[in-house]
Amino acid sequence: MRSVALGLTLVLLGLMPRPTRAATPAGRRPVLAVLEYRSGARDMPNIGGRMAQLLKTHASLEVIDLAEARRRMGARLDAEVARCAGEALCTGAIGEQLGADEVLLVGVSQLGDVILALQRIEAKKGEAGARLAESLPRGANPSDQQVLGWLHQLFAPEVFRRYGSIRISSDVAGATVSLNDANKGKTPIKGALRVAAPGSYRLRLDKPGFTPFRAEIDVLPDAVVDVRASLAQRVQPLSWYKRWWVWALVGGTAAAVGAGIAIYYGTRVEEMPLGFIERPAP
Amino acid sequence: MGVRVALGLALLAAAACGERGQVTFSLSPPENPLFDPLDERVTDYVLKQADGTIVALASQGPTPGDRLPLGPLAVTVEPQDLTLSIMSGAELVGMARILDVAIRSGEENRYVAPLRKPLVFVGSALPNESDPMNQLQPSQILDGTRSVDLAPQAPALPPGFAAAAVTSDGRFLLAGRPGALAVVDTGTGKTIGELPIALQPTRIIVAPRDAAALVLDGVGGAALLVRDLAGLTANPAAATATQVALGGAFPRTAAFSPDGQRAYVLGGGSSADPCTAAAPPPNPVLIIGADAQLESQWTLPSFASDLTVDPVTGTVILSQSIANQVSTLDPSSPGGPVTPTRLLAATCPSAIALSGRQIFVVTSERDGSFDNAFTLRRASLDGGTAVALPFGGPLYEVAINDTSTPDGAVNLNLQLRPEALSASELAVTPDGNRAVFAARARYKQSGQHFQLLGFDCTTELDIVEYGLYSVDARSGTSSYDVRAQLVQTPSPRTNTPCITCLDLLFQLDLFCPSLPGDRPAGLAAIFGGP
Repeated sequence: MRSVALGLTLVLLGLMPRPTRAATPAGRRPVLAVLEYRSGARDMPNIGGRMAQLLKTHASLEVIDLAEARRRMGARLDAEVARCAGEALCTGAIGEQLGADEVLLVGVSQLGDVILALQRIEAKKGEAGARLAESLPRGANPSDQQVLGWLHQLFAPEVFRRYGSIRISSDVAGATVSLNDANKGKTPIKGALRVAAPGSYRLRLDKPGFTPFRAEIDVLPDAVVDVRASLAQRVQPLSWYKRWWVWALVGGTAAAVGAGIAIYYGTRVEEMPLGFIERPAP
Repeated sequence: MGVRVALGLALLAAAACGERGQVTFSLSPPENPLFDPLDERVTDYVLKQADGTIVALASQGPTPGDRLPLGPLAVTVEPQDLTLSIMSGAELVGMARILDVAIRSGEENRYVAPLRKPLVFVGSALPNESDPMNQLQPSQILDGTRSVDLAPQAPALPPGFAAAAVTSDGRFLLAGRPGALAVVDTGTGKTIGELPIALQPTRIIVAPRDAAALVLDGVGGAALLVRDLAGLTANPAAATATQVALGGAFPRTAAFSPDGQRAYVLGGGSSADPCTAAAPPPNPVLIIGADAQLESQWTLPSFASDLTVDPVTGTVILSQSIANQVSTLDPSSPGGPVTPTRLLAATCPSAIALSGRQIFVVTSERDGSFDNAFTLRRASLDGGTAVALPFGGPLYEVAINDTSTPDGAVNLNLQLRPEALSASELAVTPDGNRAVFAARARYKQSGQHFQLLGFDCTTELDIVEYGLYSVDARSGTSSYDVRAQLVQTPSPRTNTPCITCLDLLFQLDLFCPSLPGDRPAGLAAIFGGP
């Protein structure tokens, strides 16, 4: 029965439709250039650099910060940005020269208090997108949390790197657990393993005298995946087609899903529904 | 691997793949093209939660009638209220509020999103000053239904409404005028009907999620509670309203608890103005239950001009004009004397309004950024430093006789600056970018001396001015529309100069005429406020 359970696990894990991750261009992360434009304000020095760093750490974007932008375009970058004076088409052209898909223009000006304006500009079309403006008292130095809050308002949630968890339990103690070839300890594993999400992970449990347990797991953001690994003691393998239960499985998948081993993606095994805006016909 | 592939082929057909599901938001523009945000050059649609967190974005397709993808939506455990913002570049041009949206895998759900432009409606009322020579006769009140941002050809709204509120889905304007509560369809601009009421409405407050509406009469000292807003908007004449027990207090304004089951009514009447007049006595906060009965009462330490409620925490927020602070009160505070906790310091704060997690407050504080500037303060309810938004104050011009060129192109006027300014009502657009408020300014000079071209001049004047401000919170630019300038001193019944200038031989008398008019009242922003 253990070998039945093991096989069932492999089948279900390997062949269940995988949840779709957030859509990105095939194999390439979007590139965002963070540029800064000042209009006579000295407050909040290097606010653009801070935003670039936070995006590198927290977002799933490839970020071109000011230093990299200056390296690519040379000393004329700052003059070019100043010449554009915040105009979207002009700033978008600079983004295109830098090889970016989008520009985040960080504008700092002063009218009594300091005004910080953040604007997303699509590089190719030079079109302005989401915008955020904040007034801050003179001398204010916003915290990283505040800055991250503004960035969360500008960008959709899927842009930001998030995490999920994998909770592993096994009927065999002392099995070595590895995740993407990294050793995570031995069973029983306390708590859940926090992993970047969405992401795919290769899980393996090994113990001498037992058939290794292998699984490929897709983890969604904020999801907890429960893996109950059942290790089978090594036995002489039989050809799969000689096993009577293979043919029973073909006809009884629904019963198999409901019984025995349950693997969950998030709180339920499901895909994210798609949203649409429907405009009225003219 | 061969095992997996072979079994997979057999199992795929029977595997519990699960339907993906979809959620469609069907845009429903208003009938009247004046209110239709889709006529603007729309670039993006932004779907947000109530706290402003972006759920999804969609960019406008090349042709109308497109079905625009929002992408995958995170499944929600409970239904939630969402707002759909229609953007033209960085400008908010329209919104819809969609209640109880369920995002579940395997389900196909469709929601109608009734679109509206983020307009601010402005009504009018008689000025508070009692001198009949300064007041307009009712027949002289112009159709005071000016609405900010509407074209001049705006459809007729109820004339002279002095109190207004918009339902939380933005679809209906509740407009109060003496003896009637009108319901206006904001999609067509047409009045659906009126509920006769024995009140002179001075404020109307709608509870979150349209749980109820409260109509206050600050002049007559009465209030009505309407629990069935759906019934009111469907058939206003047949709606029912319950008299609210106020214990003899004159209501000034009110706010509902987040669940709409309690109302906090601030007493003190609708005309008291501590910033530009003598300090009124402390006013109470009456706590009214769902049955329209008085549950308890808080006694404030000093006069408060305005009150609102944090829609997330239920905390009561007060504009304590005499104490020079905006403060908070725990809703669970027992009845009796209370001591509010300071949220931010402000010089004679008057009207307050919420936009998301931000509070806006009009103050009488002078801002040194430029000449004759007052301050609109903005702060986060979650703490942090308040931001000052300066706006230019009003001016009263005193003409100096016979000093102009024949064509009037060059003339010499004295400019008076107000000593104080307050707001009776404040409305903020849902993006927090524009604040519209009904202002009252007071020019008061008594026995002040100054020199004018060798003359020694003495002032004796007291002038009240009413006007409407619109302040852009991003850039600080403001526009002002003066509505009335009412001279209290010297009395308009006498032909007495307000400024007298003397030299050895001559006397120069300067007069301050009144500009009769109305005052802005009944400010209501679609989707504005909590």
